[in-house]
Amino acid sequence: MPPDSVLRAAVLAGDTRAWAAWLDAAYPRVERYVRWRCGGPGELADEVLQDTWLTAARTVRRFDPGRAAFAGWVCGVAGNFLRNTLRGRRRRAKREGPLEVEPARRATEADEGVAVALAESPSHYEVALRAKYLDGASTAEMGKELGLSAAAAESLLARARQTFKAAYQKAGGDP
Amino acid sequence: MTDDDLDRLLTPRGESDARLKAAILAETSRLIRRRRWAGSATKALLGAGLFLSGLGVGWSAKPSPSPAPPPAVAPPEVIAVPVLVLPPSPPPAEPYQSADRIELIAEQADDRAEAARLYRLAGDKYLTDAGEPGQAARCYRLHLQHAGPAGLAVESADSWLLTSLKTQRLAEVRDAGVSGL
Repeated sequence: MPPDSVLRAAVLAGDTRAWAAWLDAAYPRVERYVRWRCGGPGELADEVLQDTWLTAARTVRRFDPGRAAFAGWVCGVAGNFLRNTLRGRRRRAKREGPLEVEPARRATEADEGVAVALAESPSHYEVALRAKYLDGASTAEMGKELGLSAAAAESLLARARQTFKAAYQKAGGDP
Repeated sequence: MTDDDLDRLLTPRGESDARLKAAILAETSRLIRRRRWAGSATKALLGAGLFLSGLGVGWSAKPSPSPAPPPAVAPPEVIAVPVLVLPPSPPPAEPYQSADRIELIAEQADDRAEAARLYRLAGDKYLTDAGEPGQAARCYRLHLQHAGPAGLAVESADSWLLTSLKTQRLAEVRDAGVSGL
């Protein structure tokens, strides 16, 4: 696999094979991240995935290989896109009022509660929750990654969980 | 909400969707391909723009015609006509006549001076051209008879024979005058 800088140059020159290779390598991590942020697979995750990759393809010139890996950059695009999407949905719900929800949609709504709670959590809490649940890192590994002691990382994770729990309940989640 | 409920909510779920991935790849590849065409089109448009601007600059830099150009005055046309210029011809030479022919003309001349001139000419021709000193001496003697006493003066152009005859005649005249005294 060529380095990101080489693939970026090729994609900017219009090389679709380079783009396919780049997307193929980064897609699993991005998909996993988006589904985690969205509370699981569903309409929201699919919408965010599609729009995230379209945005990435349009704005790949802004990607700096010296600052992050391509998959990490696309995950950042997805996080921003998800936040904006959820904000738009909330505005629309306030304007149009609550809908009669069928029982089959309850699971999806619960998933969206996870998405809303993660989107409303401070970024360093989101990072701690991601390391724990998405990447499966131990508190020691998390502390090393974030530049904290294991005890400080444990404390950070505890506060992140409490914050998430409050945000989830505020969003109407009821596990 | 228990800790287990929280862990369940935050644990990733779901399998990868290959169809969604294929659709995303197709859609984004179209964007990348369009970027290549857009880049080519931009380059082509840029080249055309540069070409047209170059034409414009060239057109504007072209000197505009003066408002009232003075009528062009054609220089007088000079037509060179070759003229054959011959070198000045020498004066026409007298037609060559033989010594005896000149002697004949001298005998028929009414003017004594002209007859004297012709006899001398005939004597020269006999002496130089024909190599006949006897004929030349006879013509010279006739020249001296027609020329009179003025013809006895010796000249630089005289031939040796004529000079000798003049000297002889001058001596005869002098002797005759002495004897006549």
